[in-house]
Amino acid sequence: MKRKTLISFLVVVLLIGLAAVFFAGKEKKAAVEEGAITEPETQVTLDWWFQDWTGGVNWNKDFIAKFEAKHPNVKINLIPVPFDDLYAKFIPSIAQGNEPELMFGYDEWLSGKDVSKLFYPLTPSLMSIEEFKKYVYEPPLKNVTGSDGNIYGYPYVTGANAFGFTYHKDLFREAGIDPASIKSWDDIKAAAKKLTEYNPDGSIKRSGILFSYTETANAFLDMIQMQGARDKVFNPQTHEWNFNIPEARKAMETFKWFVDNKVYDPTSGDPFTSFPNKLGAMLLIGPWNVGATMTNFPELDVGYIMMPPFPDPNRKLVLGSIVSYGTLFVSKRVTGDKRNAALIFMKELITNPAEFLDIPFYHDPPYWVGAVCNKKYVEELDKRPESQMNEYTKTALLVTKNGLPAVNPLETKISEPIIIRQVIYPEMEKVFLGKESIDDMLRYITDYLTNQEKQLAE
Amino acid sequence: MAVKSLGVPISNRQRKISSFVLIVALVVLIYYTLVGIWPFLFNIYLSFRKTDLITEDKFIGLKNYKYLINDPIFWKSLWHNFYYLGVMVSVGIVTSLIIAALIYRTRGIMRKVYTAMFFAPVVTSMVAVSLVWTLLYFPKIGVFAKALSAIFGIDPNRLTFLQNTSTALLCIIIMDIWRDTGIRTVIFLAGMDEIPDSLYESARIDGASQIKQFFRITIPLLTPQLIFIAAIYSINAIRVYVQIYMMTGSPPGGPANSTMVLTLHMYLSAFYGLRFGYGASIAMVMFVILFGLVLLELKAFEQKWEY
Repeated sequence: MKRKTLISFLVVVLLIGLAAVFFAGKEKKAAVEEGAITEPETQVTLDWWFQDWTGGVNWNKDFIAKFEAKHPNVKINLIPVPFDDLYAKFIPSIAQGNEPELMFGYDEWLSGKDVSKLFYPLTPSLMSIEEFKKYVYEPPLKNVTGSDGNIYGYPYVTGANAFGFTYHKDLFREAGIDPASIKSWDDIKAAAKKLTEYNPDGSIKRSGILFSYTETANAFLDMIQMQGARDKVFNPQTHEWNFNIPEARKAMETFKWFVDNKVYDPTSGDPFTSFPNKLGAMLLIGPWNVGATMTNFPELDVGYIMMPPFPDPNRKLVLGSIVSYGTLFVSKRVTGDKRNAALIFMKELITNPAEFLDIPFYHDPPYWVGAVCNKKYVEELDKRPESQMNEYTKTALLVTKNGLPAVNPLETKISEPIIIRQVIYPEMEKVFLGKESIDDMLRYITDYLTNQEKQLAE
Repeated sequence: MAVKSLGVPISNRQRKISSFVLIVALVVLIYYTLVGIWPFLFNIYLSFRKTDLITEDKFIGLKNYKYLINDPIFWKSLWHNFYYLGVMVSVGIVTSLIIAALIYRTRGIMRKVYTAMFFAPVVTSMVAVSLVWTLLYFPKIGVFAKALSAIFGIDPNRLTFLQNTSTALLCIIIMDIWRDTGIRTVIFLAGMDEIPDSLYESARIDGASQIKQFFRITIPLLTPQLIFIAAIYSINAIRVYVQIYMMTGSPPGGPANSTMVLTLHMYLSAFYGLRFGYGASIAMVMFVILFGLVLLELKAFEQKWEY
């Protein structure tokens, strides 16, 4: 009898357990709370997941302190999360309903996704769409605009975009190259050739140029766009990619030139180690790298050169084909005082950027944060004398003013890690290493990406 | 008071023990259901669906498996797993066996010292080991490049290790073999200790050389350990992930996807590509392979070993 009872109990517990796990996996539907935003009446703490990069974390701590002083009822608990963990948890946590009140993420993680299903709407809750666009540049809003036309995230800095090249100032000086004179890809080629050092057997001792993977694949797409082939390379209506075009070949041939002319050694190793060790004189990378190098290798003297238009300087600059903006989001589940606090926090960052987001000019090491997406803040930066700026602040301003207006993302549904990391760059690497021809590479990525794009669109 | 059940008297004490066993079994069963059976069943369910956790998921039948068959990165990853398995198991067993045989001949404190020395990497975190070996393998300025260049006069520019599509996976396997040599050696040493000395004495009387004794007595009598190690490391080779992810950071699985393996492809597809159904179908293929390996292991262990 007792045994029967126990077995029945076991079965019931198992069924309850299975049901609990099954329903835990279902998205918790939550109605977004609306209404006027008022100062919280009780003490509230907002958790904020943020990527654990030193420059950004220090910067955030600065403006959290300012914010908490102005709004004493609100505490912001900044939780630094490593990039890979942040990415892996970002959408699953929302699906599970256990995301924090404030989230930082990159907008390319949301390519082809309807953000209105994921986050709290910032428009019209904070302000109208038109007013929002007065504060934020238009290109970064693309991936954070929902199917209802509202804006669901505040893009405030850029991430891994191929905006240009970090370079060693001392190596440029030794080679007698003025970075300001670099205006075209031919100038880049000539400078890289001059900066390359060879061993007695003719092998490369120091590459004139290094390519990092995310930015290289991104720049490849940008260079196709700059030749006016945006509509040829990808058709969002038919979900078809086509790299079997002369523009793609020309872009790839340009990269291959650096290998064929012994200017770039594709076996130089991870550029984040080889560049600071001066195994390369310049590195194709996002602007954040200047700040990162200044922080991690203070003995190095680095600067930044903007990406030249391709194939000649008369073309219109296009960047960010697979764009990456560091963006702030509010959980769609926030209610009551937490909702008020989260929205006030966002409003302060958007409308008072010079007060809360300010990059301290003399801060050493710098608060490296990429190109800044807030127009009002850029206007503010513009008013300040250049003599007060450290190298990183100059870079941030340079790339913001020249880079952001050039951003033109492709409307793909494939996420950045797949399109860039798993497909385009590995195939580019094969070409660099002589394992594949350019034509085979272009055919392969055309087929692979079209196949994947169609699967996602089905 | 004793009662009879199925003709066998059961005491109160036995009844208490039996209840205790049931409760303990229940806890284990619940745990196993939640962390083993349920995720497995859910994975099967997921592999027939298209889901990105955002839009409404839908049943797509066998389409994920069809995509899998047509995915060149999947086939490449599968090949890399089997390559890993082949090299890891064969070279790993041979090196550990040689080291175990050498240590076995050592007596006293040195035996413990040698065993501890080879065992030390086993207890070190795979992440830490991977990071250190990545630096050792670094081209041109890494320790291996400089050492090989100094000793053998090889041009350090040709020693590209993890940056070379032909050698990258092999370099990771070498690190893995080195790391786990200790545990395999300890298993072989335990097996060698079990072999009766009388067999070696008889062989010596019959004039068998040490090498002959090793091949005719030691290896045949280590068959259970050999099968055990082969089975365990075959399973590990199919599940390999951390070392690949850590040592091929830009991007993971590189260069040119030459170190891409099934677990990494599954992880990238599911969590980075937000194609959880597709990731689940890769996991199912891994399950079938692992299940086959476990069956082979069970079959091998059915044989009775007698000394």
